[in-house]
Amino acid sequence: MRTMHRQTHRFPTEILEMVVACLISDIPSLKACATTCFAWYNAAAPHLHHTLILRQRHPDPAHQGLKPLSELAELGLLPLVRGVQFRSYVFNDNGPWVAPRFFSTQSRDYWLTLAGIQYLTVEDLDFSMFETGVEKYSVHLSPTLQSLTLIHPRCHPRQLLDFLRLFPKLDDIRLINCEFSDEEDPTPNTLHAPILGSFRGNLTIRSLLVDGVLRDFIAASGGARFIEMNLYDVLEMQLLLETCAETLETLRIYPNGLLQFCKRFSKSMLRYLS
Amino acid sequence: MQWIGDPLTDRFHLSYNTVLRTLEVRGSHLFQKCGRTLKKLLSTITSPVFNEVVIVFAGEDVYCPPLGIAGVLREMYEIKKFHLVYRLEDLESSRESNLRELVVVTQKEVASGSFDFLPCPPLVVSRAVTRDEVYIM
Repeated sequence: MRTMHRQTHRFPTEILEMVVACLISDIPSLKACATTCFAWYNAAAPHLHHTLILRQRHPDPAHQGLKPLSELAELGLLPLVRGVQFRSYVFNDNGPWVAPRFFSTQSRDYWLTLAGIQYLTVEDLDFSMFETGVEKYSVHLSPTLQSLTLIHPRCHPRQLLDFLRLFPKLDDIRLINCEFSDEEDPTPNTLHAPILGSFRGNLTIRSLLVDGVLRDFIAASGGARFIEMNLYDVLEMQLLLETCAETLETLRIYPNGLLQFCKRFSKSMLRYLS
Repeated sequence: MQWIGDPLTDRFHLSYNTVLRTLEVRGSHLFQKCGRTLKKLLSTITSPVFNEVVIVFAGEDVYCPPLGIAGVLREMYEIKKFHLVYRLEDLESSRESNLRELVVVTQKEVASGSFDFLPCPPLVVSRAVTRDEVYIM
């Protein structure tokens, strides 16, 4: 055992990191690596804490809501976090939980100190819950955020556009089942002026059946230059195809929407029930 | 009027897309029934660099592959030449076993001559996806 311990220290760090990186989706093995020795811990810890999942409900109250944020902050692990996911509880009667009232002073401070976040997923984000603008809670992610997934967001199209344009490095946008409000166009947020520039990279859209939304997006941002598109139930699909005529290299389509929809619905139900 | 379940109609075309290389089609059990739509879409491709059709399978599709897929692909190939790729997108935990199954199924189809219209058999690859990606696929 002693010999093995010494040998791991002689193992070049770069090689060790490459080996451990192969276990990226095998959490039990990563945890085992982290308990082996300090060098292995250093190699495994960034993968173990890469994605922070904040759940509306959790069997263990210590892992519910924004509590994991303070736990990670106390352990000094927040700098390792590269992705954050806000997960909703499917049988939720209390409305969206990602709202200002859930950000206590302390958890809001921890949230705002998160730097280097590249991936963000938010379920059930209701923009109307943020009276002072959702930008106040997300502008600190602006310099680094590359991938944004919004699952069932509720907002005015203008709010969504302003939100997306907060992140100039965004090259992977996923909009799943957007619910757009019919209310009047809210006043544009002038505190955090959106950055001008066309969208690029990868785009995934599920179920966007409101006419004119994408046309307004494209007009307001000066175009779109997506390289990959993954489109399912998108009313303005042809507009997107033509806008990205000179950049689109890969297109994914779903010829049998209804079947896919039923499968996805049953899968999502099973996922939440489990 | 478009409704859920009718995401791809004859209204869509790819004649403006000048650098389109790959068309990915999410495999499904009703593949044969959408052959006409796919062929129509393929016929609109004018990109000089187009060369690949990828049939994407999720884990559960492997044990129940789309019916008549080779027939539809043959007709598509007559319209436009392409390399065929079967790509399994599955969770890391089940990817290896499902990939093995997909390879076996494909080898049987190749042995039966279903893909004799292609210059080379379909390339079978896999990609690990997260639970999120499975959910939105």
